[in-house]
Amino acid sequence: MTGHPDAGPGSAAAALGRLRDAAAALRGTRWSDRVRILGRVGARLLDAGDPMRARVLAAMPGDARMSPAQAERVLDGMARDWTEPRLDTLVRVEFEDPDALDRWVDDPRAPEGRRLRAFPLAPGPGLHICAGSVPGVSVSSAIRGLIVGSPVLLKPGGGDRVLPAALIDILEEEGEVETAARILADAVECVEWTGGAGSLDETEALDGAAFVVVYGGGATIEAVRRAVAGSTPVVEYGHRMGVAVVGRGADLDTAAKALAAAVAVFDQRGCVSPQQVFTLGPLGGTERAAELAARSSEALAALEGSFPSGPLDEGLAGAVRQLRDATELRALAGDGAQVWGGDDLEWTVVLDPEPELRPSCGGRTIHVTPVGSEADLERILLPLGPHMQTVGVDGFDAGAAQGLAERLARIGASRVVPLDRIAFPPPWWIHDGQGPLRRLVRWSADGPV
Amino acid sequence: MNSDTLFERLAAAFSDGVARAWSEAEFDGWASEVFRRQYELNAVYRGFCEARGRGPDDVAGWTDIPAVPTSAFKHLDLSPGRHEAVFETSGTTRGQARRGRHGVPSLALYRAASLPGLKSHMALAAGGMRILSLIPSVRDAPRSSLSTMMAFALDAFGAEGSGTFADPERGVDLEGFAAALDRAVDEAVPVWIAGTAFAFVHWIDAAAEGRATPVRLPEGSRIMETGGFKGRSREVSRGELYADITRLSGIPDRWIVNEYGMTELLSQFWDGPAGADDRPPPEGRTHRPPPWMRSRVVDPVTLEERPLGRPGLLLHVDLANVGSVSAILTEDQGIALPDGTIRVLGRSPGAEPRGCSLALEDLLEARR
Repeated sequence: MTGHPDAGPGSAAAALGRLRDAAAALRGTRWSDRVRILGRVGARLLDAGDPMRARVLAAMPGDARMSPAQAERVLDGMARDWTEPRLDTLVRVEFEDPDALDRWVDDPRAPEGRRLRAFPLAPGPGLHICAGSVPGVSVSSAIRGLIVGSPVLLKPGGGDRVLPAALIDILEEEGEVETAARILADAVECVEWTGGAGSLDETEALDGAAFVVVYGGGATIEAVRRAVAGSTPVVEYGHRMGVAVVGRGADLDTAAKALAAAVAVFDQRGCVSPQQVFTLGPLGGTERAAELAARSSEALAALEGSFPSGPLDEGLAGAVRQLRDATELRALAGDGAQVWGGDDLEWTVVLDPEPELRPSCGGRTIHVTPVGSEADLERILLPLGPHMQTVGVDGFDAGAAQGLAERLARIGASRVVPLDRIAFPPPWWIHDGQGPLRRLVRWSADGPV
Repeated sequence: MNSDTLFERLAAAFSDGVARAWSEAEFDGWASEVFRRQYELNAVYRGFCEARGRGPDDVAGWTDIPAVPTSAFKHLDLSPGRHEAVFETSGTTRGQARRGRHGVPSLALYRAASLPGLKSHMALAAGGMRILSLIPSVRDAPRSSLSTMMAFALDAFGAEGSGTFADPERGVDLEGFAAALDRAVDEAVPVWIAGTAFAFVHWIDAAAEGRATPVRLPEGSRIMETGGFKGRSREVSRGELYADITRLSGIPDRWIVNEYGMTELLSQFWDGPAGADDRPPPEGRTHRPPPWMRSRVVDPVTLEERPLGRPGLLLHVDLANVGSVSAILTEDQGIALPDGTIRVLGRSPGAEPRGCSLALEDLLEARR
């Protein structure tokens, strides 16, 4: 795709230089114009007649190791949140007066009055390192940066290279007809390197960025922290685990279908993906767990026909094989475990009676674990702490749901939602505990306080 | 069938050493007998085999024997009957996760399976040699199969001045080790240093920080290196590691030998023999099983054998595992080569690139 700078030694330094040059013009645009122009990215990617959508859908399955059906679902889910109405809502949810992104605004809440202004986290380009393979994460991060007026140097994750290229291409095309779009196009660049290999581009980017936004595992984040100067702000989005809780009131067939859908969208790659589901019910939830596991297996089997999974890599296939055969042996030993699975390891459901955390090995693999009470659930989830991301819930009345949300949030959950809302949080979600735009700004006050 | 006799007969066969290759028919004969024992005594394994339609009378050769995954050792006791020892997988790479446990009915058989490879690949002459072990002693680590193997080595081959310079709590005893090295140099006695890759990295890092001094060990000194780095402070390539060891000890890399083993297997692979003139550079070395072990590289989905040279999951059949299950499907990727050796590519990385969902390893790391 065009608009994608050639990778190679020196690319990052050159890109940072261009982005620094673009910063002043970007500062001169209004947030509403930035949202309006960025909204075209989402609109065009949703437009069935737009050639850009067709190009993305053709390239995404291979790049992201997804089936074409998954690629389309992910594109629709992501692009919907990049449209103007959704981005406008994001800004308005995050900022009481969004004009603070453009100018000093009065803050009537302060007793003696003051004026506030939100600036990008640090002057100069932000480096967005997206070390992951969930398509759309890189573009969402870049859009957040551009909305707050910060030029973006994007290092997309493996498996997430198509959408950033499309973002740049669309802005380039829009820039041919509107000056403000041209300014945005000049304010985002994409450079690729192998993370952690100490390449020239990596060193230059980490040295030259005004701040860093990093998505990745503990080792990646730690490496970035070590590599940047102590004064460089680092916004971290670490890996997370999603879970689900199915209460006594849930219709298990509906719950199973919703769970299967949530598992299938990203083949468990997303931080919101439910890796383990806990069932509450009589007899310690055991009978309902078995029934939910069986129905989930039916739902995943059906989805494999209508919404196929992506190809398994060797490592993942090996991990699933280990899980499947070990669980089969456990079942033969009579420990209560059971396993269901597709013939080609494409999906697996494990009924695991042991009250322990069981992160999925990846792919369409989910563990179902019975729990006797919410207190037991809390004890199991406690070690996860802030690494807990989304919790999908079903089968609780309003009062019980509120109580459960309180318990889970105290442990560390940042999002408690119905099962059918798991996969695509809205742009204004509380991402790992904080508003995503507010993490990218610093506030200045002008006045007596 | 008399199991005790089977153990004794296997031990006797192992004591013939690793030099003579066993024919396919000879191995199949043993494998069939061992499989029959395991099938009859282990009800869980029998159920697993029945589900695959494989009983002792259905197995034409070792490649037909159903393999259990290494992860099953984390949940089940796969060794029926009385154990003389229980080995546990290391906690270093899996944090506080459930450890694999391998019950060993006969330490004598484990000894019989270990000593020939040690002797041959470490190129030991009669009378043994001075062994300086950086692996915790079996007294300090009674559940470590590696420590137990080193106890066999020290007992069988350790000459005067041999000793252990590590413990599970404090790691490498740098001071004691340095004194032993100095003594070897002063006395012009070649030594065999045995340690995990991580122990050698510890030594190298100490030297870089001025807490250890390079020496030039007497000619004929050699290194046995084993284990990996995952979950440790840093990982280095084997070539880098050996270059650093050579710089610190004066031992050329052709005298450095890697042992590849795992708790779930009672036999070991070696990339020796130490000192051989025709050894390739470290990164190009491959591992050879003893005659009583066979390996296949399989497709993880179908479990069908992959052609020589094509990577896949390593599956081993180890007759020394007669007391548990001999056919083991590992989590390691590897390549089978025409000369009967394997190239170990390392642990299957799981879903890579994974996305932003938390992997088990990350979770355990975060909980430390």
